[in-house]
Amino acid sequence: MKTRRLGRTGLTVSEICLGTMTFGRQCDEALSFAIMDTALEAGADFFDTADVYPAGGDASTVGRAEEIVGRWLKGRRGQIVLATKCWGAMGPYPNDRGLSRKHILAAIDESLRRLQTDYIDLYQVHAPDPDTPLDETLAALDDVVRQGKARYIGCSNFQAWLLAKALWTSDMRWLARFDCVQPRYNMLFREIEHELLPLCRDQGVGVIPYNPLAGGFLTGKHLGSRADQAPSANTRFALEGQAGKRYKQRYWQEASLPRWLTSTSSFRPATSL
Amino acid sequence: MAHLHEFFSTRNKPLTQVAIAWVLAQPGITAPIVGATSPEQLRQSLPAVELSLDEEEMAVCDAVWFALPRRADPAVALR
Repeated sequence: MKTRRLGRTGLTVSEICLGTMTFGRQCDEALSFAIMDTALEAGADFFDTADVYPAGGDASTVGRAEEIVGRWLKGRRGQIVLATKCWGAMGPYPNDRGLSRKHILAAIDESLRRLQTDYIDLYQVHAPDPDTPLDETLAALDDVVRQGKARYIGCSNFQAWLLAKALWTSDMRWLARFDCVQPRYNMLFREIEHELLPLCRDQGVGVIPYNPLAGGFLTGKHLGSRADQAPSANTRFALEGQAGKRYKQRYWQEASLPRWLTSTSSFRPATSL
Repeated sequence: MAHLHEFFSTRNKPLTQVAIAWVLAQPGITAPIVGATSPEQLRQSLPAVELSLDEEEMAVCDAVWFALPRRADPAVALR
């Protein structure tokens, strides 16, 4: 396995980061363990999870992926670069979600408990919280780093302008800064090339894209499925509730045999549609 | 997808690895996050770090995005 530095930081990570969104729902514990064994054997020592995982779950399943990773991690913690996230709803109350100081300081402790460790290597906010001032969030994350509960902080699903605002806020206030961003990026979705990627190169922010395979679409396994057909079972497109709906909305229609692919063997510009 | 599949199968390059290698080849990218529902599935993805794409192959991958229909849906466009 090849390695790279995470942005400008001194942290070395494998070029493939293992995603754990399937653990605890699409994969049971034994299968999840086998997947993590396979990753580590190949040298992929960078794992990403989130407090709300597994995907496609509900209030009764949140935290399961972290619990599974935590049980597997025993005796191996130092070998792994462990990333997790907060923001999603972990309970029924208003403060069980979002990026308030109250929730962040509670969420990191809950993640540490489930992961059975006393530190996270990369602690990320899962998405922006428009109802919380950015400096409140960054100050809380800075406390998390100073308390030794996280080594680095990052963000996910931030647009370039918001990441730029966060970087200057950290800079002005001498707070820990986002050294990594996790955007959606793949051959079928390249929005980040206009603003986010140039910002990250300029500022030395690491970029760890999710959905590099467009939720499995780019593996070619759905070839032959038509847009109006139901996706195969145990794929992301077949997940119950919001998760499955979101994946179908993201990729299913666009790339499932639209006319321009079935009518010709070469590509036509979008204007011909 | 059918075109991509056809093009890369003649070159003996699995689409899964091509898609990951394409992401890794973009300037500024650190490490794509790859999930799996089985160890076999992960083993099909991991060799992507050793796969390099030549100019013609990159051009075929790049053409996909510019040929896609656009939808006026902010939920799709921004996240």
